[in-house]
This record gives sequence, structure tokens and C-alpha cells, in this order.
Amino acid sequence: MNHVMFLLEFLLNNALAMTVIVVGLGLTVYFGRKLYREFRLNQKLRAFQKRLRIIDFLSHKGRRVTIASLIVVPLLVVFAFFQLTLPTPIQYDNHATTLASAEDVLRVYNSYEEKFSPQVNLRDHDAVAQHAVATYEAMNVSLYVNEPTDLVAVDGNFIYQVTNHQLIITEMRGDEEPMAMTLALPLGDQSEFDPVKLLISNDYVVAVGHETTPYDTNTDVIDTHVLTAVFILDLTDVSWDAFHVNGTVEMVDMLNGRLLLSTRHAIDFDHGADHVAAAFPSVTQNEDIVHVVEDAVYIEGTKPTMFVALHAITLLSGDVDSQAVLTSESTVVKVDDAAFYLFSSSYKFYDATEMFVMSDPIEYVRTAITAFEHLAAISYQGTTMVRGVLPGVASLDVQDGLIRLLTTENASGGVRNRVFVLDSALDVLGSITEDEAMLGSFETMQFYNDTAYLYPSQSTDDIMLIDFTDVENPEALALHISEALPKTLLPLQAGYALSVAYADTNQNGFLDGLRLCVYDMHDPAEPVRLHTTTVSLAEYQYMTRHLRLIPYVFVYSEAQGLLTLPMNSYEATGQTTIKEGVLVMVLSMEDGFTGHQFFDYTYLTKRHNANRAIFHDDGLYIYTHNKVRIIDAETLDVKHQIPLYEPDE
Amino acid sequence: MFKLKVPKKRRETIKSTLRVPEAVDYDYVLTTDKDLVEKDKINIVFDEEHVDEINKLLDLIAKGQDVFVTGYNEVGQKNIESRYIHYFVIEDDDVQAVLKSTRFIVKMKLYEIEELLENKHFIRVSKYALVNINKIDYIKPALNSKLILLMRNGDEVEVNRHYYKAFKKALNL
Repeated sequence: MNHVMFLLEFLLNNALAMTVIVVGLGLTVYFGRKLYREFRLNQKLRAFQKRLRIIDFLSHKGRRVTIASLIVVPLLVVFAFFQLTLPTPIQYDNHATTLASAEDVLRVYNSYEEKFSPQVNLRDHDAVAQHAVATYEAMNVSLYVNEPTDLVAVDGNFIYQVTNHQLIITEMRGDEEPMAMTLALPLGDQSEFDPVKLLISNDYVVAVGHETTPYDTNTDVIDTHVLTAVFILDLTDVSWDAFHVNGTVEMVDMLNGRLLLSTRHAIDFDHGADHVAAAFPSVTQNEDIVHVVEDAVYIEGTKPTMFVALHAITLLSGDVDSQAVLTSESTVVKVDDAAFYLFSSSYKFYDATEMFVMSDPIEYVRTAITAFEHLAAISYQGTTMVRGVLPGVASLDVQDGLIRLLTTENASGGVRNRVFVLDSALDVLGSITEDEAMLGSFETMQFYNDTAYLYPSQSTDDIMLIDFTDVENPEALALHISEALPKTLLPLQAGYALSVAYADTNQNGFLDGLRLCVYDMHDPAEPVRLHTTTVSLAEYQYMTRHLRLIPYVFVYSEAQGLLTLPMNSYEATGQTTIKEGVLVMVLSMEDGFTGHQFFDYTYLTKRHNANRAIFHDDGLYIYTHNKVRIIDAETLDVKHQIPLYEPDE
Repeated sequence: MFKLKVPKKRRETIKSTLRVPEAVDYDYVLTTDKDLVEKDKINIVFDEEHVDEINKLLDLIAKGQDVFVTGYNEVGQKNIESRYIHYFVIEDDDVQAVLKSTRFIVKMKLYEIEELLENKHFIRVSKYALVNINKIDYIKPALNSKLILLMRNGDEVEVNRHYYKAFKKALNL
């Protein structure tokens, strides 16, 4: 039925095709009738002759072949014409559609745009979801829309740091001064590298980032070309392998000697199939094209806006596998040891039969969770649709074979929220869908072991606790605490958590530092605030603090009793000075915060500001963008510091 | 026209030898067993030994008595059995009798030949041609309600529109 509708739609929109099919079928009918009459005529002749005892007839095969050809040829012409011009009908299969070409991608996009009803302004919902993501990004330290920058990796003896043009390897030598060496990245002459992540796996060090190359467009304008660059250093022979992928990197991880990454590719739908084809992901290895993706999987119902490309690069062999997914912008990619998971929040305008749902589009608000196995080749595994959209990326969690997520939906009775637990096969194990306690607008869900906290958009509303202990029957409980639990809840050590929030504004109306709280979380339903401190680095009357948190720098050493936090500060007296650094807090669960020290350096605008705190032996290694300092854990004195490189600016 | 009633084992052999086209409506019963004769039919009871004679008899029944037409060519004059003639055609003001691979000029008018061979399954297909139905191999419809007759000798003869209906009627087409 779907095919018939598809064909009719195609013919109605294509006069040439309609003409060919009408003429072709007309000729077939004409010659068919002619053949039939001729056959009957000669049959009667034979009957007549048989009566006269004449039975040795010639066959006249040639004549029959000619007539049969006249019937078949028009059909063949029609068939050939459609083979050449008619796009392959889209095969719907369990919420995902295989698209074989750029034309298919364009067709899905146009079909979606056509079905988009101007009467229903669902774009607003997308905007709300995007806004929630952006808002959350600013306030939460544990999860990001895009891969958080992490430019330092440690293997126990060496610290690896990537900058915008080199890799720095530092040997940790206890109390002795560390040794550092640098290796230049295999960049093009005019290229600039914006590192995003550094990973290590056995004998390989992998730097992932964006490489920007200026190119002359034959005009007076010099444009730039941005690719995702993957530089793999083989430590056994100190040789580089360079991979480049079009698009920007979104997620990077390393599993069993394979680099798994996802990239985003914007698609230009307005200038034809060639421009769409240009957005298909392609991978080059040392400037040779090694893999070009020419098809894609479309997650049905999602707004076809961009390609999310999934890549797996085997470090040892250099083999590359890629899969393109056509889906909406509101897509988050996670990976575990078996599969990539795509969470695409969107609005399902039509079902698998392409029937547009006019009645109540809100009923079709969905989040599609799609799995692509990556153990061998990256392959589509399945999609599960759940109602509602993700309010933010932090409202989901993938670990230990379980997927937990919160969705929200503006239903007629108000904002309805739902919690789902899925296994790795995307079967819904448990859910909370109709709990009246979960009505209202929630902003995010913060996970803490088997529990999660649901934070309402309005601070006056109750925080909810979701108990995931029984995954088949998650339970929503109101949290009975005397004060609001901050949204940034970070595990410290077993049974304790730290919250980081802005302190109150000072007398001049400026934020005046950070408020840090330690909570006893032994009973998740009854978190108890143990210690509080406000970190104010104000040394000048009108100085404000802007704090930026990077999760990789947030480190707590139970043995050392030290907590490290990244931060930067704007000093607004006279000339504005921006400082960035690592704040080291002395903290124990018993005594609370008892001291701090700020190790700063001048802030640089580029993203190569790699700050990192690493506890090693009795020392604390603090990495800033151009030096590493070894801090005495007892006295917080700097024992050693070595320059790493001088930045260009 | 004929119905063959012989023992099953011998049926195919006898049928192929006699070239008997059996029909639902039949006037003649051919049998080797006198007990199988049918009333109201013409029954021919024969021994298998006399199959050849029966064959000639059946030819006579089906096609009637042979009629001869006199024709001549550069070799000389010849009396031609009508059943060997594929068709007559007027060419260069002569009436020619066309056989499988030779032609004879017949010193008769075409309508005279038509009258002569009235019961010999010859049919007028145009002002210039008279065709032996038994020698038509294939009928090919052409445009403008015409028919092209492919004869057994490979020649093509056109059925004129004027004679189209008569031709079809003669053949029960």
C-alpha cells in the first residue's frame, strides 16, 4: 500500500514519468490485443485445415517473437525508465529507514517539511528543549551537550597533554623534578588544531579535536575548512597516524583498542542532492580517503535536520567503520561497551505508513532511543520510542547495561514527566508514567548511584527522588529535606556528595564566589548537609567571580583530604584581568573545609587551556596550560614546576 | 469429421498413420471392431493391414475428387492436381498457378478457375488472387483491415479489404 501511494505521488508530480507510463502501457495493451486476435485467427485456420487432414503446420516462431517483443519492449522501456528515474521507495522497518542516497535524504526532508503543519507550531517545543539543554549546560558539571574538553591523560607513569600544536609527555618521578618532552602534531602547514580530548590505550595516544585549514575560494575572501581530526601516536615507534572526518566531534570514547566517536554534519537541503551528498561523512587517513558513507539510517518521526555519524577506528589496524544517521538536532549520543545509543527527542508527525497525524500532534511527542552495535561493523539494532522529550542531556544515564531517562511533555493537563528504564536491548524494563506527583515542570534529573533527583523548574516546588533500586518498578518519592538540594551533586566518596553553587550576591549586587556543601547521602531520601563554605577570592572591593567548572578537574582524594576545583576569575578594577586556575580545598568529612589555595595562570582565549589535577603518590600534579606544578599535599607548597611550552600569543 | 474407435494400445499408431483429426461433431466412425459401429453415422470398419487404402479413402472423403488444371511454362505443358497449387495470381495479364517452387501459366480467366475449383477450398482474396486454403500457413493481420497470408512456399498474398469478410466467413473465422 505504501509503495502504491509512493508511486502515485511520484507520478502526479512527474509529468514525464506519467507520459512514459501511459504511452508504454498503451502500446502494450495495443500490441497485446493484436497478438491475441492474430493467435485466435490462426487457431481457427488450423482447426479448419485439420478437418481437411492437414496437420503438418509450420511454427512461424519468428512472427510470434516479433509480436511478443512488441508487447514486452514498451514494458521494458517503462521499467528501464523507472529504474533510472524513480527513487527506491523507502522501506520502513521498526522506526528506522535505510536511505540509499542523497536523493533519499532530500526526499525524506521534503516529505517531512510538507507534512509539517503550519497550524501546529511545534518548532517552539524544539526551542524549549534546546533552551533546556543550554541552560543545563551552564549549571551542571557532570554532563555536557558536546564532549567536554579533556586534554590530559594519565597512565600511571606519564602524563600526556595535548595543546593546539603538540603533545607533551611528562614523566612523573615522585619527589624529583618531572621530565617533559614534546612531539609536534602532524598538522598541515596552515592548519590550526583545537583539541577536544586526549585518550590513551596501551601503546597508543589519541588526540581528537578540530583542525581548521584556511582555503582560498578564488575570491578575495579566505574561508576556513573545519574537520574533525584524530591523531594517533604509536608509542612503540613514535609514529603518527592522522584521520580526518568531515563534521564536528560530539562524543569520543575508547573501548578495547577502538576509538569510538560521533560527529555532527550539517546538511544543506536548499541546494539539491549534491549538497546533501557532500554532508555524508567521509574519513581520510593520512590524506587518503579510506571510507565514504553513502547511505544513512533515518530515525522515523524525528526532524531530518543533520547527520549524526558514528565512527569506529581500530587503533592497531587503522580500519575504519562509519554509519550515518539522519535525525534531529536534539540528539544526544552515548556509548557503552556494546553499542552507540542515540537519544533523538522530536515530534512524531506521522507514523510508519507516512500518515500525517493531524488530530493531536502533542500525542506524538516522542524520544527515539536507537542502538547501533559497534562490536564488529556498526549496525542498526533497533529503536524504541518513549513518550515525551528529553528536557536536557543530563536527564539520561547509560551505564551497567541500563538506560535511565526522564522525558517531559506538555500535555493538556499540564506538564507530564515520565521516567523510563531500558536494558541494552532497548526493552523498557520499568517506568513511571502516570504518577501525579510528577506533574509539573522538571528541569533535569541528577543521578546518584541507584537514585536520581528530579529538580523542578520552579525552585519553590519539591525535589523528587526516583528510587531505581528495583529497575522494573522505579518509584518516585517526595524528598523531605528542609532546604533545596543543589542541582550540582557530585559524589565525593561512599555515602557523601558535594554540591557546588553560586553564593549569594554581595552588597554590590555581584555574585561573590562559590558555595560548597558536603552532604551525607547514606539515606538518599534524607540527605543531610554536613559542611558549608563560601569560597570568595575577592581581594578587591569590586571584584566579581565567574566560575567555570570542568568535571575532569574536579577531583577529591580521600587519602589526601584534598578537593580540587577549576575556576577562573574576572578582576574588574581598572583593567579587567582574567585569571584561570585550580582551587585546592582541604576537606574531610569529619572536619569540613579547613583551608584552600588557588593556583592560577593568565587565561588564554583558545581552548588549549588544559587544567587538570592529578593525585600521584604523595604529590598533587596541577596542570595548567603552559606549566605543570607538583604540590606538596601536606603544605600545599609548590615543590617543582616546569614550563611546558610558550603559547604563540 | 471423423471419430476413431480402435483399441487403446494401437490408437496412437493408427491415428498418426491415418492423420485423423478427430472432432466433437463427426459424421464418420473409423473402427477395427465391427461391434463399435454407431447408428446414424457412416461407419468404416477396417483391418490394420489396409490402413494405406483407408488413407486414400479418407483423402477422397475430405478433399473430394481431384480436379486438374492445365498449365504450361517454358518446359512444356502439364496437368496439375489442384491440391498442389498454392494460389492463382494475375501477373502481366496472365493467370499464373503458383506451386511450391514453380509457376505455370493457365489459359483461363480467374473467375473461370474460381468456378472450377468451387468445392476445392480455393477462395478469392483479391481481384488478382485465388488462394488454396490448405496451403495457407499463417495469417498475419495488417493495418487497414487487411490480412497478409503467408503461404507454405513462403510467398505472401494480401487479402483485400473488399474480400476480407468473405474470406473470414469461408474459414469460419
